[in-house]
Amino acid sequence: MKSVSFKRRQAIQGLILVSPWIIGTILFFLYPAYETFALSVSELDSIKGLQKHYLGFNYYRNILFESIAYVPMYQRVFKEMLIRTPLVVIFSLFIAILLNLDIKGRGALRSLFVLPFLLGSGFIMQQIMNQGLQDEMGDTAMGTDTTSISRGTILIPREVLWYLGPKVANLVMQFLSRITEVLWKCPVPIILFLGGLQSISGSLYESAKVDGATQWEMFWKITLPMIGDIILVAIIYTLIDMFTESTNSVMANIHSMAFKSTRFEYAAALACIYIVIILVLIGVIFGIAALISKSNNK
Amino acid sequence: MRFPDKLKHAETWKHIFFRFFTYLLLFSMAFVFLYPFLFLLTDSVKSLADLTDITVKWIPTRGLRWVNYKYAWQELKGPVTLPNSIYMTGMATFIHVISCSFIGYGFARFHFKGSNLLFGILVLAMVIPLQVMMIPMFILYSNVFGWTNSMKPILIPAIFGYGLKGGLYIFIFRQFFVALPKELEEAAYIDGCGFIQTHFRIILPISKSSILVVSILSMVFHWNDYTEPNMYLTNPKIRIFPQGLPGLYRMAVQMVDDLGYVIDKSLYNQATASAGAVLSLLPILIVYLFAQRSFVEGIQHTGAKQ
Repeated sequence: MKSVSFKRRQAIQGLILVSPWIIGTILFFLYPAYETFALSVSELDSIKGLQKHYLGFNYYRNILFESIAYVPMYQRVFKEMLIRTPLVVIFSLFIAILLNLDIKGRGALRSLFVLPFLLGSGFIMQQIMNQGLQDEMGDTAMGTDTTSISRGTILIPREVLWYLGPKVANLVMQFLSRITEVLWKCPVPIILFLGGLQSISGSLYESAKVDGATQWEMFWKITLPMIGDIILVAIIYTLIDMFTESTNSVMANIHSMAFKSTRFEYAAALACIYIVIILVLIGVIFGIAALISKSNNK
Repeated sequence: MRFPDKLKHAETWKHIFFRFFTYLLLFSMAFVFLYPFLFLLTDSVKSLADLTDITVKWIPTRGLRWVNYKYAWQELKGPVTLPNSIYMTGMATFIHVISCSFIGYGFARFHFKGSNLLFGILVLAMVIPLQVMMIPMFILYSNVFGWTNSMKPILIPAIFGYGLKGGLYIFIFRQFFVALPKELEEAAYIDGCGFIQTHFRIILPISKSSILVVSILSMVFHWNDYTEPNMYLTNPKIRIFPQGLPGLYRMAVQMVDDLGYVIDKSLYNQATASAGAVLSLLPILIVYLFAQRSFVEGIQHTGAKQ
């Protein structure tokens, strides 16, 4: 009897804490999300007040079964995301651990590693990389992908590449541009991991040291389990960041479809399909995380 | 007697090698990040002649042109927009830390029917790109709530855990709180502390690192954002600083390739645009330099030296 009342009290307390968010969800999320979905199954009569009439799933059918452009586009973007996310998370965990060491110049290094993040959401970066202004408005051609933007050039002078011959140079460039791309995505996960590493109590390491544990063992037995929750955040953040960044070809298409061709309904349908796929992906990740934490608790 | 000495010697060398390797690795990776920033810095003080001269890459040969900064500051309307930016960023960050930690605590500690469903909705809200819901949101804010020409569309949703990436901060707080030991809270409850009081008196003071993470993220995202400000802050009186940057860059490009006409490029060019970018970066860089010190202090507090 007592445990029931405890559970109920906990539920009420939780609801009180979460209640502002629930109000926010209804106002600022469910309503606009519903409107967006409704837009994807209707035809717009007037943009003022979003007057529309129901049409059915025509746009969805068109995107998935009739058009030849969109399914490969989704595939490409998701393939990229699946390759890059693990790399970003591993790299940033590695860098964060190095930055958390007791070394001289740590403060300066920490600032250096978040510099791209401080520089902004990509607009200034694009300018520096001579990406031109087209990308800003999102009319990237359908064939081009974020991956084809070679930033590897910033690492090796062109003159050196000429001596390597086209084949080797190409490989080197591809490798470097991949690494650079991954590094560019690292700052936020690095900040997350630094916070996570700092919240681990030092006494754990001290007692492990007394018991004769090596650094390597301490990493696997203390650090990794203690920041497991933060690794999940980092994975989800990295995925969502790549998913919503305006330079990826799906987002660019949605943007140009909505604001250049003013086909809002079609853009909404494109977005809805995109969101469903990422939700499945995130669901799988959460499932795996739950399994891991279950086996740890056993 | 000789054996421990030898061992010590080997340890030192290992230590030095390890340090050297760490620095080498960190600096070579940091260079990737530093390169474009250095490029931005040197571009910002170039004169027009240096900009068009392809032999000049890093070091301007015709003197440093600091006046670029003056033009950029004027074009970005610094005296009005900078205080606006500081106000908006500060307020939004403060609100986010308070509201998201509150909500995140609810998600982390209290389990009730449907709490998993709510968490699912939280993730869903994080996933949906802003651009997709832009139009319904704009209509909601301006027509239904009547929040025109104010910062309300940016600040008020933050109170409810929304706003710019609000879901992310709730998620971050939740993950940090889940890892905290429960004994502290239980002790607080036994001493008759209410759960809201427990959150503000017990949980928040020991979760400095998560507060730091969230405030850095929220601050930088708000400072650099111009998707939402461009929609809502159209009145010149409430415009924020980085909003003028795309215009500055556009001006630079237009004057370079405008049908062969050479317009007077002495005022606005790539250099002025770069100066504007440096100006918008500086405040956030300074704040970050101070904030990251608390990261270091955090270590000394917990004694978590490796």
